[in-house]
Amino acid sequence: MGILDKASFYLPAGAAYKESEIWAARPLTDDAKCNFYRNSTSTRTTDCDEVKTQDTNIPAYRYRDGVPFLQLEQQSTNLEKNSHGFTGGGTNYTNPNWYESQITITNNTVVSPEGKINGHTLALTAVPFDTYTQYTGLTNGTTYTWSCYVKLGTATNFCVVPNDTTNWDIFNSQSGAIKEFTSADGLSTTEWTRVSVTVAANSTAKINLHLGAHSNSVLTQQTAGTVYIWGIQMEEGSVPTSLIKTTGAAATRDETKIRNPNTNLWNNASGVLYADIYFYGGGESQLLGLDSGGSAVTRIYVNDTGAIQGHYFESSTYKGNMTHTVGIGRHKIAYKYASGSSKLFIDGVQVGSSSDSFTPQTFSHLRINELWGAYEYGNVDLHEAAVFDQTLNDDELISLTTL
Amino acid sequence: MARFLKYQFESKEAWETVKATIEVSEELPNGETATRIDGATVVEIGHIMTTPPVMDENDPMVEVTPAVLDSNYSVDILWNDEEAEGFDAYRIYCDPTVKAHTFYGLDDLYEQEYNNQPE
Repeated sequence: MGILDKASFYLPAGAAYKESEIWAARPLTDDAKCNFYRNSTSTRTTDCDEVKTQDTNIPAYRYRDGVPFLQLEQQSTNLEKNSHGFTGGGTNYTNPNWYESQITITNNTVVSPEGKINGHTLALTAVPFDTYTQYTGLTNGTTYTWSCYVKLGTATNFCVVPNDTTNWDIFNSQSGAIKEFTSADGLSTTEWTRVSVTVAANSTAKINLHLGAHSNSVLTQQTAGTVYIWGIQMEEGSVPTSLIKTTGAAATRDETKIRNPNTNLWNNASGVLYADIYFYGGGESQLLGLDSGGSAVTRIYVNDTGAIQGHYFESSTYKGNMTHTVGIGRHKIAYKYASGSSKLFIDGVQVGSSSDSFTPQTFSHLRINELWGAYEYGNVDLHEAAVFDQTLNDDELISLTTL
Repeated sequence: MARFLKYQFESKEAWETVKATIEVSEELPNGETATRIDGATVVEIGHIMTTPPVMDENDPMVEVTPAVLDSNYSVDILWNDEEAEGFDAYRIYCDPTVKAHTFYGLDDLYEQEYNNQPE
């Protein structure tokens, strides 16, 4: 582990767990036990890109580029009532029914990402064509993200057209609103790829999503072909979260949070908080924090635009507060809190320092993906996290955070 | 043991009044005061659509008959433990097979409540 040998608390990638509990690798005592909360089922993606269901209060690991990450997610509701299937049209095209025009939808034709024959074929037979559903009851002006898993059949692309009821002409003139996915976006004939589109609900609080394949950037130039789809999700927010499977009703996945209630592992006056994360965007998350069970806290935090903060909070005032914005992707972050000499390192670079002085508080809890209460659940995956009850020098902080 | 219960209020305002009884206010690190709900996961479903809109056969973007929404304000709550005091007056027990919303993987919890509902 190297520098991590010095940590008083170390939660490694792939930490041991069981229902409602997850164990840090350090300390080597019962104090390593953390409480894990997610009061509903979720899904995760294996290193073979298979979608698996994870039971209530069982930590979920998913893989990015072969690296395991612990899923830390916010509460989300899949408004698509049938995530696994299309139900025919008629005159009612409101979710879960789909309108079909010059298109044939055949259910349960291919093996889906969960290894079952419940993927669907969209066969496009004429021009123009489309299929869509309409989500009602959305909040006007609120951002929603629609996502689904796609695999190409004979078509070379897949289009999603977020639309509203006043914008039917989009098919003829507004090509810019079409979101086209091709092999450049990872689509292939052999692997499933999850695609997503983020839109804002219109004044009538409805979103219509048109699906289609086309040869150029407008849907009037379409070619016949087939694509396969599975796992549709429509949720509030700007990023797709892990799939929430639905059958006949919208469904909610609870947020994830981790706590270690302990008073002995932390240095109230000075130390280092460290987290190796994958940032997806959307949501606000306390990546790692120590608190008193009240408002005395030191922590590293990320908001929905990727602004990472490190600070020590004392008497309603930020002390040693630093902010540095990162993009979507993997980042290693270390915040050294020390009165008069706090520093923030991200990805091997010092990005902030502060000479603020503060009076040490008494920390009694470690929390991941929550503040001391129920706030701030983000969409961040955690590879590993550590707390040092001593400060580290600059060389050690650079080494610790270098990707 | 967790409980999954469904509620209806005569309006969003009525729900806000009841919700306030389970909210806790705290000072955030940025100095702002925020409220949170302790001991439960809450999903505000709102006004459930009772009748879907009817669209024009020839132009499916034209709404012939608008959707009809329930006047009541619906809320689903997953209690970590026992239901908070005063909420039982707003409970409803809709048919588990036609419910508008569920908590992922917890259909059994609601069916249990439905099957054991008070007389």
